Amino acid sequence: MNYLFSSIQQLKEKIRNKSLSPQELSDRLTSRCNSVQEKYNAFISIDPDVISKEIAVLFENIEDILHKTDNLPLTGLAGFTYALGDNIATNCYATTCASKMLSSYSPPFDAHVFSKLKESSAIITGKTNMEEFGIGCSGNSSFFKGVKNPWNTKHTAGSGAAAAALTGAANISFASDARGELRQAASYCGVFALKPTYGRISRRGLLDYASSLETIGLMARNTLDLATALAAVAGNDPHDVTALRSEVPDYISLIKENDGSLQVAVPENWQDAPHLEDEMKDIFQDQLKKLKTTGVKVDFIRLPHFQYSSLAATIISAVEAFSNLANYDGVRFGYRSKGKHLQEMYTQTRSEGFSSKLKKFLTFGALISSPKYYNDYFLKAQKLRIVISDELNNCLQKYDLLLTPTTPFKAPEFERDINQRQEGLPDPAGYYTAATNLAGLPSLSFPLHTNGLPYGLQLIGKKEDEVTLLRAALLLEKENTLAWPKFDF
Amino acid sequence: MPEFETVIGLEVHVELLTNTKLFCGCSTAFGADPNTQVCPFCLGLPGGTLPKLNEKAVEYTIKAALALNCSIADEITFDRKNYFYADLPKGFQISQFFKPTGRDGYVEIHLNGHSKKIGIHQVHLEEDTGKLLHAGDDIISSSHSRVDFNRAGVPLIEIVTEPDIRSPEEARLFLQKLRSILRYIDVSDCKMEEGSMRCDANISIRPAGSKELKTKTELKNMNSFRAVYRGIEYEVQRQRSVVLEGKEVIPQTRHWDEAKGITKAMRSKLTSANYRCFPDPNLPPFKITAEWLKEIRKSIPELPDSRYVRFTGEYGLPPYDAEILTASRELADYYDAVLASYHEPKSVSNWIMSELLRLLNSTNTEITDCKIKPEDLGKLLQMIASGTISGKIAKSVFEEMFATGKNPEDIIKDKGLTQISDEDTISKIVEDVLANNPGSVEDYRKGKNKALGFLVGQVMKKTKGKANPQLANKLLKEKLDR
Amino acid sequence: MQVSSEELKNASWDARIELTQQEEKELQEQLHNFFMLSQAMQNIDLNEVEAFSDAHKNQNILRKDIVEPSLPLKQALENAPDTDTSSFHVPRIIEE
Ligand SMILES: [Zn+2]
Repeated sequence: MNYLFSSIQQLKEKIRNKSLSPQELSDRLTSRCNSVQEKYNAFISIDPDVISKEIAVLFENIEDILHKTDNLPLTGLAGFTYALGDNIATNCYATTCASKMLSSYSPPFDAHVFSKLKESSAIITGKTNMEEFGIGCSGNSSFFKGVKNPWNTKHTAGSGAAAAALTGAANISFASDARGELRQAASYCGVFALKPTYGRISRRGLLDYASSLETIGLMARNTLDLATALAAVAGNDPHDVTALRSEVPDYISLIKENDGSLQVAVPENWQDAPHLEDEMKDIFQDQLKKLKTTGVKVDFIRLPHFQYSSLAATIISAVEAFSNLANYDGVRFGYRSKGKHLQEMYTQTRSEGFSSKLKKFLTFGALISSPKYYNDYFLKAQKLRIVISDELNNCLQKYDLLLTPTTPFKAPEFERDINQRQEGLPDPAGYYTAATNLAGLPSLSFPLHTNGLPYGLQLIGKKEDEVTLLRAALLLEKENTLAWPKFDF
Repeated sequence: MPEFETVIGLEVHVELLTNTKLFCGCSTAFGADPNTQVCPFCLGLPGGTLPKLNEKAVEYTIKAALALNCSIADEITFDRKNYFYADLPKGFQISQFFKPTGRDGYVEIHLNGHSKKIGIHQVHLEEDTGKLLHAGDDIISSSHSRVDFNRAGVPLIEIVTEPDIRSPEEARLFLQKLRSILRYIDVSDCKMEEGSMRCDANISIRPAGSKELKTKTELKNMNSFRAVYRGIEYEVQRQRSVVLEGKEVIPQTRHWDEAKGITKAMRSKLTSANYRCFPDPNLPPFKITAEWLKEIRKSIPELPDSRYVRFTGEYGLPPYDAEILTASRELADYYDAVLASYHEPKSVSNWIMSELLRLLNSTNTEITDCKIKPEDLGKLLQMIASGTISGKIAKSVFEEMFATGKNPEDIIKDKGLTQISDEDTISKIVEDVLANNPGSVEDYRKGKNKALGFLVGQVMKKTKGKANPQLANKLLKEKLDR
Repeated sequence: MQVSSEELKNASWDARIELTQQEEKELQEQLHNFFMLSQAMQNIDLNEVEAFSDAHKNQNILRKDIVEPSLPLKQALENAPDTDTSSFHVPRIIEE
């Protein structure tokens, strides 16, 4: 069960032979999203009018779409549903970053990805809940409260995007990834996630907190959907000077040409991650064995500085957030508090408008970039970034992929685990994921379903080589049976 | 009383003459209604803050740095200077901190017949801020302020000098020279009164002969060349009094109060910002290619200093003339153009400096709007030299040319002003004058030379000023002395 | 490494944030942990490495100096909490 229907093809057939009315589809979709919202708090905005409008467009264009589907990446997404993280600018929905600061912000523009998706005859189901400004996966900083994990509601989902992808409230979820948030949430919810190469998807209209690390990524319930969605939104954007200018490969046809001769590297000290759960260790070793039996070559290699990547990314992202979020001053948009004079208004606005977690994070960013700490911490982190990037790139010259767990642990429990572990500096959930943000490399999290909460397997690829990641994910899909939970909506 | 030496460094901000802002396509046109030239980027709206660097702004900065004799960086980067203020939409200003465009240049000034080099520490490109309009009389009494972000993001270059300036006069001369150079290369109009050129001064004093740099104050809000001179002069005197009283100069930012003629300390909390600088993660570094640099270098015209050397050397002009003629590129171009049709450097200079500049000033006209074509001025001077018209008539012809833009030949023909240089014609008039003024003839012969002047005047009067005065003089003398 | 309360106050002021006592206490704990974990990082010799020299960055992208449409005034002001018909309002600048 991939959607309300067995497949997108089936949906298109039903539209074509008129066995499904726009109203019926619209009602079923809205009702599903509302259920997902009620049960898991996955959404910040759902607008039935927008849903029915987009469905009307889909029905109108169905003949065109069916004829063009094969050649155009955009129409390849027709009929898909998708959700956007609430830090991706949309003019038709408020864009809140799950912050009190922006609870009524309506950007006078659309993000690049949203503009593209609007042309695709895909249907937006809503804007998803997240940690405030997409920082981390701790489940305690959204102004709209945390997102519950559909596998077990005592645990965090990491993000509404992951919960929406898991529950079928969207075929594709778009969300941001600065230190691994996208992949971590996907791992917690047991869905697929792809963080593409930095610049592969335009960042225009992303309300990012760490510009040099952060990209828009996507989640889905299978590899092919990921590839289809990536093909639709990838590509150069002249308005984003950090966007890649190289040609976008034809992902759909390329990932099918798989000769199975993968060479994979694993950091030899992968078990050093703090809080690494024994169950994860077993599952990861199992996966390595499985890969070897399918003819994949697996080597253990030394990456001496990989262990510092979360620390370096935490420092860099906190300093960039301190700067990126300095425009939240109550003057041109957003929340404003009172204040006798300008500077007092700034301080009160920001102290009331930001969550406790963000206030601490921004203060940390200010501290670590102040003259006393600048060289020993901020500059050192920037240098480590170069060293770690070089290490990864060198390793990936010899190997097709690097393999690690996605997170050391499964989805944390709200009451019990929201403490040092979630708000840690560095965030221990980012132990494996942050390195690819430092290096700008593509990375995919593959879901591993267990009896309880799921885990994730992280694949790291060469710069701009999303194809190999997707091929490997297809291979893993064949080797692993995914046990999706049943929902009653 | 101990002798003091003044040490001044200037930070000059100059708005570039680009059509659009530094990182977005908003217009930079002056005088638009508030907040009508803003976009998500220059308003710092969430999700709208991806910058796109303006090619022209980089070109102009390189051009300025070259004209100020700087070495140009191979690669430039843009950095964020983070602080909170109402006129700063993004909470940071994008500037160049780590890799500025130009470094280690100089500007030469001429002072009492000597020339002196003022070192340029660096030239870099950055964003301007918005504008605050205070409700009520001023910033102190206002209950709130209004903000207009039209100016936010307009490209500025900042020129930072070495602490080489030793007096208010040197500061003024430096600024005038800087303005002249930047106008020559057409990158800014440098209007201090309109704020397209702004100057802050770092001022300190030290015992004469000392090499040590003492505590400095930063002086702001000087909106004219005169204000720079007076502000610095006042601040130096103030620091002297402080030191002579045995007190310490406090490092602070001070405001020049033009009306009261004094400098005032600004509240420290507003100014003691703890800036953090780091490269803007949204702006990749920019490499300046050798080809582009070559192209820009080629586009730089002859600058005031080389012109000054050419005018004093090749043309033999006095330094004073050369200084005035080279101060603006347009005037110097005009002078060169007149010389092309009439190559008498000194007499052309005299006419421009006395007659032309007088009329330009009295009618408040820019040289670029002057109706007299340079070749027509050349023709006029040629006619004076050849005796076709007298100097006196030439001045009225010149005024006519200035008012109407007509050429001198037409004016002279229309008004019948050609000089009479024919001996026979003048001879007859001279005879008449002598016959009608026997008293003056008598006086002359008794030795009263003044009488000759009167008789020449009579000849001129009879010819309505058209007689060649030298010829009239010569013929009169011949006939009287006979 | 111990961060004084004064130091933390200065840093939060630079970010225009006022931490509650509880928040300050929590942050101090996080910082304690952070500095402990950073010790190993401090021992890495990175003198030869140039910061900010990432090779994956694009180069030399410029925009032509051509005017593009700005926002209509109404849209420029519509998200702001305090405006008149043409400008944004801020409280008095001087702090007394
Ligand atoms: Zn703009």
